[in-house]
Amino acid sequence: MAGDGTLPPTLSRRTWTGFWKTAVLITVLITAASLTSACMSVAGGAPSSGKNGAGGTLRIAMSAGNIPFPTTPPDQGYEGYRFVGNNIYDGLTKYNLDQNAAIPTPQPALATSWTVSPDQLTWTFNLRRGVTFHDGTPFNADAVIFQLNREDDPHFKYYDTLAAARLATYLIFFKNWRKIDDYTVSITTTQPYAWLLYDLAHVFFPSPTVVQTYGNANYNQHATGTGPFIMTKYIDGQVMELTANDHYWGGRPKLDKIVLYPQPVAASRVAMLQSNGVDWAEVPSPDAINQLRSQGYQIFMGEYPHGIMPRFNLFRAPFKGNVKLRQALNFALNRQGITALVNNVGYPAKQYVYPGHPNYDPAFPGYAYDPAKAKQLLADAGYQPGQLHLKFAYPTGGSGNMFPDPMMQQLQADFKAVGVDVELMPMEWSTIVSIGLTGLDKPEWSNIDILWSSPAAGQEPDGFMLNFLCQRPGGQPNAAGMCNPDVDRNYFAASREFDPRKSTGYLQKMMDAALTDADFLFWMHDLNLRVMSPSVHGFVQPKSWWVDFGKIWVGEQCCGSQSNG
Amino acid sequence: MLRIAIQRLVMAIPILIGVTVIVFLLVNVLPGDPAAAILGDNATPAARVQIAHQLGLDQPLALRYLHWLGHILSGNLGYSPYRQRPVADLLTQAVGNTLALATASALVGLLGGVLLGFIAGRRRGTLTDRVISIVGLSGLSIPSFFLAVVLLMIFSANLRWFPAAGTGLDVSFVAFFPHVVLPLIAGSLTTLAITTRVTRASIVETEGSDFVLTLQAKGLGSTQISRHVLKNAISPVLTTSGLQVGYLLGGSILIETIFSWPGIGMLVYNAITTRDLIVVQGATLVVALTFVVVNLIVDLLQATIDPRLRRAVQ
Repeated sequence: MAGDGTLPPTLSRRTWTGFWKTAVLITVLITAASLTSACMSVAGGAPSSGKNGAGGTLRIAMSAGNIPFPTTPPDQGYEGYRFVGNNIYDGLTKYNLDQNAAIPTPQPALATSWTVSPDQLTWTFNLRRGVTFHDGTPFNADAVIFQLNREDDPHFKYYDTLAAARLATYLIFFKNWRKIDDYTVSITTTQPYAWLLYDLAHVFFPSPTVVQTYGNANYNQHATGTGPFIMTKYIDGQVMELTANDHYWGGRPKLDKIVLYPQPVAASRVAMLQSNGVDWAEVPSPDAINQLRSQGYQIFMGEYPHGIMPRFNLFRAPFKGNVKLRQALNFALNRQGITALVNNVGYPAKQYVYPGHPNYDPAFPGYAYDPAKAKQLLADAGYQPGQLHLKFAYPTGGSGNMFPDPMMQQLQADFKAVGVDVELMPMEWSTIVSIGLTGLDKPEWSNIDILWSSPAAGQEPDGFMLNFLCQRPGGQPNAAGMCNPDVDRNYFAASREFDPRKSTGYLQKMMDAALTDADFLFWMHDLNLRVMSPSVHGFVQPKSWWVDFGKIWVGEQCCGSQSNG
Repeated sequence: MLRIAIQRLVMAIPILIGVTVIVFLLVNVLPGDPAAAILGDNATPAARVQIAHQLGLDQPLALRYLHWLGHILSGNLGYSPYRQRPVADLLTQAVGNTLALATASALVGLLGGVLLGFIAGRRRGTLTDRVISIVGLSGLSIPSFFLAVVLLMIFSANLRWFPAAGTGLDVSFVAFFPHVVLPLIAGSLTTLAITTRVTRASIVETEGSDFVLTLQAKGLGSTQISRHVLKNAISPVLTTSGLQVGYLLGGSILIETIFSWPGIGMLVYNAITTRDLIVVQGATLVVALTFVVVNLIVDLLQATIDPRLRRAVQ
């Protein structure tokens, strides 16, 4: 303040008056607009609904952190195949996902039939005629050869490095391929390989015209396949709309549209469902199930090839060469207790695959909770209570990992009860993946005794390659040091055996070897939890990570009660 | 004024470089292999080597930083191998969404905070003052992510008054308004609380000044005196407002993830979990630059309002 008591120089009175008037006016306008728009959106914002057993828009809240890229193959793991890959594209084969009686197997798709040469090295595929890509380009042998070159020939002009890298595991046994005529192609493998049809279900075919027009770098915004749905809108990180393909060779799907939203937070997915923002929410929180059921939502759970099967570090002590120790920890685990903790969205695992799976051995009793036996085996293994201290690395989240935090805390208590101390090492899921690709024998990870693993346990027979083999054909490192000659021998025998029953027999022997040696912590089977609005009809929960959208339709938009119920 | 602005921007350059060095080092010491994150758990060693080479991960750390810095200086933020898009594209899209939410949150948080703080300060010691102080304290005490989930459960899931996810901007401009309400409330509460408390404190201090006694002695009315008090008390509020606006423009990872708001916060969160290092680096640089610019604007505003500050700066 000036010495004469006059006011310090500031903005004029008119300016301040105008400022306040403007501020109040803006506030009033925003509030009015919000409330008006809120009323409009709740009252009139419902998407289209079908009737008479067809039609409607299905809105899905995925657990992925982003919309899967519509590349070939898509990213985001099996969630990418489930929602994007299998809808926009087809492979030469595809799984029969519209049933839940048995685990799906490869069926004719863009290939209608095939033969195998006497030496079992060359497969000849007869391609489906009259199929066009969404842009009108005809599907034929040229398109097949184009894509196989794009995925596996580094010298090809349109070779896609990233896609090739992601698909590499499924092309390990591909030696060469050629066009025989416009609707016949042959694929020669490096060895007799009975599971080629499973691998081909992962190889999708984009329109060569689109790839050539836009190039690999810009393909995503113009993704074009032959599949039952056409990508009609795609905003990276926000939304993807898939519109029914009226000319789909397998018959037009019943739905008019699928809309995909990414939402990695379970509570938010549930809120999106309850607010009528979506009709389908993946993996809600287990503790929300009772409320959702009481509100009339459809809760889907069912056995499918997915488990939590942590791997012991078999490169060194204490687990290397110590079968009794590994067995002891398997008997120390109170699986029922953990099942109750996660509100029964999983169930105890006795073996690597679920009971009823083709590779499940009913003759093997498996592992169950028996702390007395665990203590005895621990002593036999050379450890008294309190002597063993283990480090267990696990993810804090990640799609397909169920609910690691509470599960791990229960495990820690179970092991403590038999005298084994466990230090929990929470990590990001991408770090766990990195460890799996680097190996527990590397200095930076060698202090980890047990590594979390959540395999698609038995979705495809070649999937066992990831965790079981001493040396993987693709050259991937042996992550946990498991090296059981019986396992490897039976796996490769199964892969060469074209008689399904004999192949299954080899895989069961492989399982027996791994079970006897307790090479894994056989922990939990997941029950594939998802929840849908009562307006969703025709959904069949298959025994698979993937889903068929062809027979689903959405009726009148009526969602559960608005009570807290 | 222009000279002051240029001086401040020049002084900000070493700060920005320092920020980029720190962030670069931090993201590159994170455990996990970026190539593995891009390729997934079936990646072959050959594929990992190929991708690592493409990303430049096989080069020394210092060289990678210098390459990146060189690109930045030429206006190129790089290309995200994970998102398969230029980083500039990703940031433009994300900044726009965060800007929309931040603007709304700033308007509510700052204007509401000044209003509440002014009322509390002028009516200090009364019940009104105590209620407003409790509101302010609650705003600072309640974690924003907790509030976000509670708002979601009550107003989206149960009452269905507001949508639970997205911006609505992919549908229409009008659809934005119902979508922004809940993230705005959750995101602006801290700003509202801080602004309220700072304003109140400043009002109380200013009202103790001699000139207020003079105004009262001269016979000015309460409303007129309030105006003078507010004008003189606004300076510290501007300072904290600058920090709050910078914080809002930087995007809230938690708020944006809970509400599926595709802004900078969600972009950075996804980039960290997928080890998309170049996006993390680019986004951090943009956020740091935002803070610098916003605080420069605040400094200039303060100098405009208060000639004492202007003379001191000059």
